[in-house]
Amino acid sequence: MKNSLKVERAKKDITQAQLAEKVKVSRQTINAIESGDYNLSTILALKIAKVFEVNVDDIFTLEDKDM
Amino acid sequence: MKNNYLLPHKFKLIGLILLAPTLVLAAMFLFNDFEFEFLELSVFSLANTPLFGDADLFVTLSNNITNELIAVLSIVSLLFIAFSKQKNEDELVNAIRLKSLVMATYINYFILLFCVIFFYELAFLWVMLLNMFTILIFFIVYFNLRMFQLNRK
Repeated sequence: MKNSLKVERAKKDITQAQLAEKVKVSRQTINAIESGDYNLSTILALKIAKVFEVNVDDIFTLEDKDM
Repeated sequence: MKNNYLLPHKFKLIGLILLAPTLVLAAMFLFNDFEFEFLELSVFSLANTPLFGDADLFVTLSNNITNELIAVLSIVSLLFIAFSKQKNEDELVNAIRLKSLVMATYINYFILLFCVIFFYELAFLWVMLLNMFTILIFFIVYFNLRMFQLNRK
C-alpha cells in the first residue's frame, strides 16, 4: 500500500506530531505509516482522511504487490 | 477493538515493585532453601502425590507455603508487567504486542523442545520449573526491546 501522507501533511502544513494528536495515536505510529512500515486500520485511515478532508483512497492506494 | 484485555498502565509499576522482592525471595529459596517459618500452614490440596505411594486427593496437609507464595508473586508480577497498557497505547503498539507474543511463544517452545531432548530427570524438572515463567519473560524482553526501538524513531 502506497500513501501520500507526507504530501497531504505538507499541503496542510501540519507536522507528524500534530496529525498524531488529531487522530489520537503516537507520532511514531504516523511515522511508521508514512514510511510504509505499518499497515494501518480502516478506522485510522478514515480518521486521517477526515483530517485532510479527502477520501481514504486519495491518501492510501493499493500497489500491484498487494493484489 | 475497544476491549484489548489489558490492565491500566500503572499496573506495570505495581508489577515491577512486586517483582523486586519476589526475585530476592526466589534467589534465597533456590540457593539457600530459605523458608518463612510462619508460613508453615495446614493447606487444602486437590492432589498430593508423594515420591513413593499413591496420590492423595482432596486432603488437608501441612506445608510451608513459601515456595507457593514465590510462584504466585512471580506470575502475578510478570503478568502485570507484561499486560499493562503502554503510556502511548495505540494500534501500532497493539500490532507490536501481538508480534512479540508470537515470537515469545516460538522462542519459548523452541528452547523447551531442545530441553525435552537434552535434559533428563531432575535437570528436566528444573527446566519445567523455569518454563512456568519463561514465556512471560521472553515476551516482556522482546516487546520492550521493540518498543524501545520504536520510541527512538
